[in-house]
Amino acid sequence: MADPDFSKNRPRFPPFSTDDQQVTVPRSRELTATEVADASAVAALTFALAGIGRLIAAGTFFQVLSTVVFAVLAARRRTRVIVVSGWAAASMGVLLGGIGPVGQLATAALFGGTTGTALRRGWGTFRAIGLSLLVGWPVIAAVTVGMLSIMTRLRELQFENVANLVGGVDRFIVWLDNLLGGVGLDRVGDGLVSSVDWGITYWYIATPLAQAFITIGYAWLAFRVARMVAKRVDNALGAPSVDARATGEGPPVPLSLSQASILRGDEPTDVSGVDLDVSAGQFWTVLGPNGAGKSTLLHAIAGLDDLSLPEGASEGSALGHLGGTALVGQRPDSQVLAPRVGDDVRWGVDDQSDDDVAEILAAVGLAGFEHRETSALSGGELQRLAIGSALARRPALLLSDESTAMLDPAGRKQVHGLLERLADFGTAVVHTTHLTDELPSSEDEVLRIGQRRTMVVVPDADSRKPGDVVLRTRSLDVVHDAGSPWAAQALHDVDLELREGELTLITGSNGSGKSTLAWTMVGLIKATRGAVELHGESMTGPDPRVAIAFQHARLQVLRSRVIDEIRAQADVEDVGPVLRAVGLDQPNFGTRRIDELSGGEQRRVLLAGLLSRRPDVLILDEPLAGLDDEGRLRLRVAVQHFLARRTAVAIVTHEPDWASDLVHQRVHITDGRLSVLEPGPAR
Amino acid sequence: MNGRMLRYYDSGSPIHRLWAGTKVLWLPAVGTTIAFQISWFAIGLGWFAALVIFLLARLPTGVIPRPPKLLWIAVLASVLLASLGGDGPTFYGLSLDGMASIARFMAFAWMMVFYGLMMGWTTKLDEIASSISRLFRPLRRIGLPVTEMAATLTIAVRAVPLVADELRLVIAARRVRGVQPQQDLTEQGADIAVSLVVSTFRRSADLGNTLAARGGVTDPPQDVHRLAVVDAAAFATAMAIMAVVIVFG
Repeated sequence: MADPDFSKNRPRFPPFSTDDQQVTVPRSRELTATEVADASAVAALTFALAGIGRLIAAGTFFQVLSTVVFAVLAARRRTRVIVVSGWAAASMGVLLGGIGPVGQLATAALFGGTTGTALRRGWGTFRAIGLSLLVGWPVIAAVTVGMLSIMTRLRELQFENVANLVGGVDRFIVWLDNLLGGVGLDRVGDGLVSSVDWGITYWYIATPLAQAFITIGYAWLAFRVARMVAKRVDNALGAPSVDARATGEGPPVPLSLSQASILRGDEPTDVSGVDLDVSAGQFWTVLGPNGAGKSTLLHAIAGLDDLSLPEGASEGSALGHLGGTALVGQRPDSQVLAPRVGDDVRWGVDDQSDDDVAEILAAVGLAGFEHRETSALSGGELQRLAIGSALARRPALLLSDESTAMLDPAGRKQVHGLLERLADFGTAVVHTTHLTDELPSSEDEVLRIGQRRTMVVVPDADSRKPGDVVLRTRSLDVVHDAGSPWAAQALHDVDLELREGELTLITGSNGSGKSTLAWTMVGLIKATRGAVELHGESMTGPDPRVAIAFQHARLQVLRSRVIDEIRAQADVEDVGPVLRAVGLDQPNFGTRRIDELSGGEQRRVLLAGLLSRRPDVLILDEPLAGLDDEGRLRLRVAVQHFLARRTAVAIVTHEPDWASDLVHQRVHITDGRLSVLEPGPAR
Repeated sequence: MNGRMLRYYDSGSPIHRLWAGTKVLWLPAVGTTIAFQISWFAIGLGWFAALVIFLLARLPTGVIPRPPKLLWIAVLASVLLASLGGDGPTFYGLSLDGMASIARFMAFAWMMVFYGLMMGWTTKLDEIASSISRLFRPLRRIGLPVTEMAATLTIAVRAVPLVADELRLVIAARRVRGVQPQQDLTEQGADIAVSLVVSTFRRSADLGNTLAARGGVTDPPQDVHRLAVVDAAAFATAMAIMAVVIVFG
């Protein structure tokens, strides 16, 4: 349990900052962009944790979790960042029901701050608890004693209630003692009553004293968990991200690179030999697989992440300035900053009239969206909004870092079409992609990087043999929030059969109910009417024989190393075969850290674990998003392995044409209603 | 987040049209005054005002969440214990004073919860955030970094639905795991925290780049809501309630 060794010889934690100076401390007092981003992301997470804690009445667990999250932030950033983050979280806490949640979030930030500071300084448990006692406890004690001395009537009422409760407990103990025939339990009750009486009489001593003991326990637990977490987070992410360098006043085009190497700090990176000449109004496509260095190139052009181009490539990126460089990245939900569409366009460019904003929104096909909430937009709409917000700065150069990779085919087409039209505004565009169908007809403005060839071994099995029904939904209705004014029917009378060794493709647009169907089939959502039957029996909840792999694999893969993750799914000795099946058979892959892997590789580690678990049914939720050609091929082979083991596989996807030679059944969902497009050859 | 907490229900009522900042100031002011007196009269007045606001906001009763059974059990147990331990006149051996005291506190606590829920049904999170930023703006003079604070709060509000989805996913992923992990609660907590924090910082690195590509940390678009008659009425009501509570106890 507790680490009893407080000696000075133990390794200091964390490795990225053995002394305070090594933490990225910007010169100015103001927070930088990356600090503000970290502060707000942590505020959002702790707020959501507090909300869930209230919802499922597990407040203490989530309170410690929030403290740990703040502690990790404090271990990586300055105290100022924690203060602002805690303030933001507590401000949102107003909506969770007034003063209680605000106080909880402020307390979590306070003790997270002290715990994280101890981590940052590499202190041991003893000093960490000491700091919490020295800094956190006086604040809490002063606030409590202050409030209790002003609110005399509230204090008296509360103390009366406490005395009554303890009196009730005492009477219960006496009754129990009589029942047992007088074993002396009543003395315990007397002791309890008299100590509580003392505490109530001398409340101004007793309350802070009790809080000191609680602080010690709380600080000990928070430090213990935060140390584990901060170490693993540090291994996963490395040092905190740094801010954009000042890279000159621009203009960013013309940009000229000839056999250039990208620099990180002053060191060259793997990305070298780049030839790229961009002038105004051009549309460049950079084609390469995942991991080829496309993002590195674009971030160097922008001057982000301490990356830079060789001297003299351009007059400077002028990132974010009027007439400078703009950037749209891959994940749609990270490209938009404001909760309202119009505010996002206005962000940082104050002198825009309502007409200017409307004009920009119309140009990106979002006319009339000004007051909509950004959280309700689809991926394609978000990316078009991000491009619109970039246009508000009339950029000379727009960098599109795989901005189409995570979108469905319709959204991808719209965004790509919009990017191509930007030349008409005089903006040069550099668009990176791994999709060959986004190549223009002429090769003039195309740069190819990092091509490679993939070898795969396909299992040989007759995947076309007709199978028995494993999972069946019978007249399935699902109503979200039934009985409340927000009730919404997500599924209507859905009948679907999944057969062993067969592949079912479930397609449908955003919000059609296909994810609800997937979650219901694995028992995560209860059917309002009808049933999900596994081998003919109704399912009442999640079942180990039915597995699901989510798109965002990192949230599902919980262990830090590949081998541990696979063994956490099923008790297997040799993980070699399943790793080979998913194409992750490089030497010593089992000992690799999950967070070193790409998103696609994490998805396949999850599949390797599930493969060794041998479920009867496997459901894959959007497994193709963001995968390049190689990733798609690997996924296809992994699916073939499942089919060869007679698992019934269902894939929820936007792409109806993927692996059509493997598909037995194709169904489509529109507004919660299922239609069978193509019964498989097995029928 | 699903469920009936934190869920906006639009009926376009005067309560919905109030400036969010009015509500943010109203609730702690009135709540603290009632807590100061904590008499049946003050709490009764507070509940009366709450019900009037509920009717004014034209909310259907279906918005009210059903408390979990565990809560009822806890309430019953504490009422029973408190009335066993209390003094004064008794009823079947249960102290009426003890029962009244604990009931008085619960009536107050639940009133505050109900006000909090009403805030959620009638106010959007981004309106609360921008109004709080606006309320803090004058504090620039005493050296508070209000620009960074406002930017942080605005981006945080934007990130809440994304983070809530991730939380839902993490919880779901644990439920569908085949083998139940042989770990204690702290290790499980650490696993969950690592997943969430890594994902959060990955996103914030992206958001940081987006912010840099918008010219760095600047004031987000500001709250321009104009105070109207409803806000004046709300402030007047708050004053009246506070005065009555203080004078008549």
